[in-house]
Amino acid sequence: MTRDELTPIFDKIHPLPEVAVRVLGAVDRDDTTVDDLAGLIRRDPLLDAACLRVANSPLMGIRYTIDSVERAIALLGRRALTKLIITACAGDTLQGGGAGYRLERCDLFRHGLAAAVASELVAGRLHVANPGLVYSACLLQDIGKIALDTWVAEQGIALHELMDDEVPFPEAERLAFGVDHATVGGWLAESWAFPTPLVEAITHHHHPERAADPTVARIVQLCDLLCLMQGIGCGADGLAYQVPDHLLEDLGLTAHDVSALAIDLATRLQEIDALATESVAP
Amino acid sequence: MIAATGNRLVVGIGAMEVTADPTASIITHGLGSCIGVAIFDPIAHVGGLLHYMLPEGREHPEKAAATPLIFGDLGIPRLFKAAYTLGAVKQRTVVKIAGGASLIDGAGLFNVGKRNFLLARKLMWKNGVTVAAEEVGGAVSRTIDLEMATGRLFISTPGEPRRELK
Repeated sequence: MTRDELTPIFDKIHPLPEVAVRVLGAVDRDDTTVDDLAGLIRRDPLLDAACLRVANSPLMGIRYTIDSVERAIALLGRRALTKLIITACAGDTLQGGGAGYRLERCDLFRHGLAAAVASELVAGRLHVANPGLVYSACLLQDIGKIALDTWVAEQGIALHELMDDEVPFPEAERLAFGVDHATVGGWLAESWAFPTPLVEAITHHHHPERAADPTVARIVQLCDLLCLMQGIGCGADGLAYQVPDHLLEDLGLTAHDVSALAIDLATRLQEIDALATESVAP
Repeated sequence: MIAATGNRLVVGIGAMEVTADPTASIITHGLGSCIGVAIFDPIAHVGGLLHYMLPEGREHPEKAAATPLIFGDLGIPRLFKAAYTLGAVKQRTVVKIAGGASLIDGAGLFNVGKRNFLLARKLMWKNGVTVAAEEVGGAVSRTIDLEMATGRLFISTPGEPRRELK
């Protein structure tokens, strides 16, 4: 399967709004101000409801009631506002995967959101330089599944039949289609004009050593694996994903750190589930 | 961790539910590497379900104190004790186990699925409890639900029809 063959499929997918793409380009940049972000939000009145829903979810940990986007702008700092906008915009896009991956309606968003929360836990331990990029990459890591799932549904292919406990699912995808969901996700991210570091992280989250910045891709992979281990947003591909032998060593973490991270993530799951369910329209 | 919807009790990770309500069902979603332990006494009509994530609390003592049900060695005894307070009797209690799936993990960095399952088997054996049915391992994430009217445990996986575990 080639990128050109998938282009008509890309056109059918609900893209991230322009405001989100602009914010993705500004994460972790010190020269972006709250006023810059406020200007972007004010240009897109349709974003109001989604921003308020996310801002008032327990997951965001904001102690005050946010009753308007203006109040969110007044109360939140640059980093929190960035996260708010990207999370609010992702729910409409991260839908699909029901035909081939056998996912429930909100599973892709739930998985991405849980991985993004995990990335914050990891970033807290590792003092990551670009937490906004890592958060975004975790949230959007599986956009390729939306495109691949649409394609296999149109072709009448039973994607779940690729499942084999011993074969990593991306490898099974490559054997069957010549491409895996991570690569397709990178193509889709490029077509939506995502910033290059984010395209890289999405493309290589199952093979971080191939990324220009392997650390970001490794954190995305770690967070993905933490979610799979807990069965968060698992479909027909289940847990058939490879844990690289040196993943933890490369990140400077231990197996004990991983189980501690898994516990911390588990204690946030109720909040993640609530926001995922609310954000994905029935 | 636990949310009730009508008579449908949903058990999250590191949580359990025990009931004597014959109209209830207890469900836990997406077991992944976690283990679901379902128990049911058909005479007292008491049943329970635990969803734990890691085998032993001693590896994380502070977290074990705060959230003991995340750990099998702390959660399983609590599950049985809660059922006994509602009238269940150990010798009559039927135990079924599911979950414990694994990532493809040659170095064993995330290898908790198998350890979780071994912990359950060890605890049951040490306490003279027979496991009536189990479906563990592999790479599939499972959902289980205990039907309190009959004590039957059902299992489902993505895209596959729900079936009884027996």
